[in-house]
Amino acid sequence: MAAAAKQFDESLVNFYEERLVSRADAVYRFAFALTLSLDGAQKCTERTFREVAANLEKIHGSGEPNVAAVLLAYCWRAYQDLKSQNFPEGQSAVTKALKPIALEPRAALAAVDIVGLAPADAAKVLAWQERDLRTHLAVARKALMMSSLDV
Amino acid sequence: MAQPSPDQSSLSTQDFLLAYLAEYLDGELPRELKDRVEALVKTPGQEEIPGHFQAMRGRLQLAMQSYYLKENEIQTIRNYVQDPSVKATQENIKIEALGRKELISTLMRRLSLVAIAAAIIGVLVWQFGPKREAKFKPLEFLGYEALALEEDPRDRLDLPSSDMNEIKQYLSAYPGLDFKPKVLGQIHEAWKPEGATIIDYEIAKVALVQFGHAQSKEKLFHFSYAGALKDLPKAEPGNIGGLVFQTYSSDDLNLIAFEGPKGVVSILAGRRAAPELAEIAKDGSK
Repeated sequence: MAAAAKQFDESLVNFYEERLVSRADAVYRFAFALTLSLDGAQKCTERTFREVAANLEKIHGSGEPNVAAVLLAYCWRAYQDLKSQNFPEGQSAVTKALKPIALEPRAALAAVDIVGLAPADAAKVLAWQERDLRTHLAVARKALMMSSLDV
Repeated sequence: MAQPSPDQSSLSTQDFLLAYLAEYLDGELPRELKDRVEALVKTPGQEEIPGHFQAMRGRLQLAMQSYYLKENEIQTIRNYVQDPSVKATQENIKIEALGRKELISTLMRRLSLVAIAAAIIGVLVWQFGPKREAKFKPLEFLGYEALALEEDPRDRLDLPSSDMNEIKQYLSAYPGLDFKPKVLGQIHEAWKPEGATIIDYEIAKVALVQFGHAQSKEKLFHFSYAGALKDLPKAEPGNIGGLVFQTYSSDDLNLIAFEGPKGVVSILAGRRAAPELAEIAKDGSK
């Protein structure tokens, strides 16, 4: 049974709705790129927002303008917690294009080329040096260019 | 704007190109890095890399657009912060408040319209509707008139005259009278005629002959108008020497009413007792 939602004041509820929930699809796409699974992406997104809700005052109080980076950082941690689970992978063209790419390059590609973070911000989200982020990014882009992704 | 990485030298040439390609294509590289990427994409075999990458990145972004949360999944993550029952209650309160506001506004509008319509109808009825005819109340009107004349007779008589013939002539020749006023003949010599007038109430015209007592300043007023004795409030009838009359009184005056000729009612008002007024009327009616 789900725990009752914590009660927040109106400004926090508005911040959550307007700034964070409005970017839920970006989180979901990032999570999908990590898990390559619709089920995994949903569970990862839900866990992300559960953690975000639990830390809502802290996030709001930090004044961090790049809320997409904050959300992806929580999502990355949520994925670390869930990655031991085996999520059923799909057969979509995107899955086929991303599956050959290792997790870290895929994460870099998703953060920068799918969600649209700047590489420096993506490096912070993934807790890497920017040099490592760019190395992973180069690997992922090379693989993407070699894929047969067609839509 | 992207800042140059301090560790860019550790990337291989192609990794460097791929690592910075998106920012190069998006025009977000500082000059130093831009020149370097530009030099690399011009080297043989690399010319097609930017275009191909841009196409594949576009396909990837387009394909990812088909991945999104369903409404119930969005609702689930909303519920982490706001209890759905609390939210529903708040929304219901807002809807109720809006509903109340709308209801009051509608009622006010309707009331205003009804008030305007009622005002218009009222004005139309007042302006064009049938005029209610004011009712002639002889006892009330003439009692008041007698008191007013008694108090201040100046300028109230159109014909101040002590000549009874002149008074008779004046009343019989008065234009627009639809009855022939009763004029008392010879009454007790102590009562002298002082004049006559026609009181026009619009709803009725009343002929008045005023008498004054020779020894005192006491007045006697003889009113006559078109009407019937039966139209007056019922009173105990009296009869003196064949003169049938009805008696009325107020705090100040006594009035007797009698009929004759037919269709003309006379009211004699004064401070004398009713039988005495009746005697005077009988004498004058001979």
